Amino acid sequence: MSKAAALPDQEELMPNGHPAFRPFLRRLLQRSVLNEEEQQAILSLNGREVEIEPHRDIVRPGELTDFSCLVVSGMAARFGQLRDGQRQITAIHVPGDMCDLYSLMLPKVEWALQALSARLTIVKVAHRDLLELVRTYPAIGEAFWRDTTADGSIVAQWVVSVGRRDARMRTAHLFCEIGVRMERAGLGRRTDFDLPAIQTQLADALGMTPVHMNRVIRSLRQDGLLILKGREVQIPDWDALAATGQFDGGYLEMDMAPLARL
Amino acid sequence: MARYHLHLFNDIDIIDEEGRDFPDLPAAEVEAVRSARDVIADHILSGRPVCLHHRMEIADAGGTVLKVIAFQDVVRFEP
Repeated sequence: MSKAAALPDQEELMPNGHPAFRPFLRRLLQRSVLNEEEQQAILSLNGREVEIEPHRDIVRPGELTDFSCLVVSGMAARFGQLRDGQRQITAIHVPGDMCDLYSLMLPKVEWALQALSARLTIVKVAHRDLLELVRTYPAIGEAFWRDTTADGSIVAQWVVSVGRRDARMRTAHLFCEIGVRMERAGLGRRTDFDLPAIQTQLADALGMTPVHMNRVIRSLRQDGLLILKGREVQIPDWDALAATGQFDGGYLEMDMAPLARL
Repeated sequence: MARYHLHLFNDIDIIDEEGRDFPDLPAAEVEAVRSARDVIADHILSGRPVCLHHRMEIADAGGTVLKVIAFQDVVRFEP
């Protein structure tokens, strides 16, 4: 990725900021208190809108970046990769998520970003704009800190899933988590939402082969717990699926009541 | 690249209607073996029986079965 491609072109800038920052602000406000001026400063952010082709990486492992990626539509994923090309997806990002806000502090890491869905649109926002915001408004810095902490608590749950939950529990847990996150992002209900993920890549998130994942999904369906029709997910009995996955949304709800400012 | 369908015949059968692209048949076989072992491992971990006659089938885009991989071909037990 050349440096020029990473920075927004002058003519693409929208005078009142890119509309994609509205759901990002909504996400921040679920966790943090920001006053009118701080909210306006986020809504005035701009960036370069990019369509990511299927099976393309957004940021490659070890690449030095000077931008962060906000998901506009579709889904993105963070991954680690072995030398033989095998991948483990370590985070899934839904619209409104700034997938690599951490890159503001760590612009070069060995994990990287890829598209999870066949269609993905992101906005690349320059680190220098985000840094300026953080330096001008300490409350925005706090909000970013909470945002990355919340992402970290999801990663911790995934470690428990991959290490200790069996295939069935792990799959049930992931579908519950995505359901809650989609609902909170204003994209459907936790029991009824769209999951545009490519199957092989969803399997990379679960640490299973796609064949095994499909077998587990079928068995959940036979038990009346999960219905997948194309990209549409239906969860007929939320409590039963949550019990199967031992899903407790506490790690996602840490932010139901925005914390007071530091 | 060619499209191959990896079907699973287990206690639950999974017919791979969509298929996936692989460089050639040996590459699809590697994935079929990996898949069978993954399913077997889960049976073992959860204490369910492993039926050695269960299998993976690799079919081409026209539906012709090119290769059958039985579970007994991908695991080895030694006394």
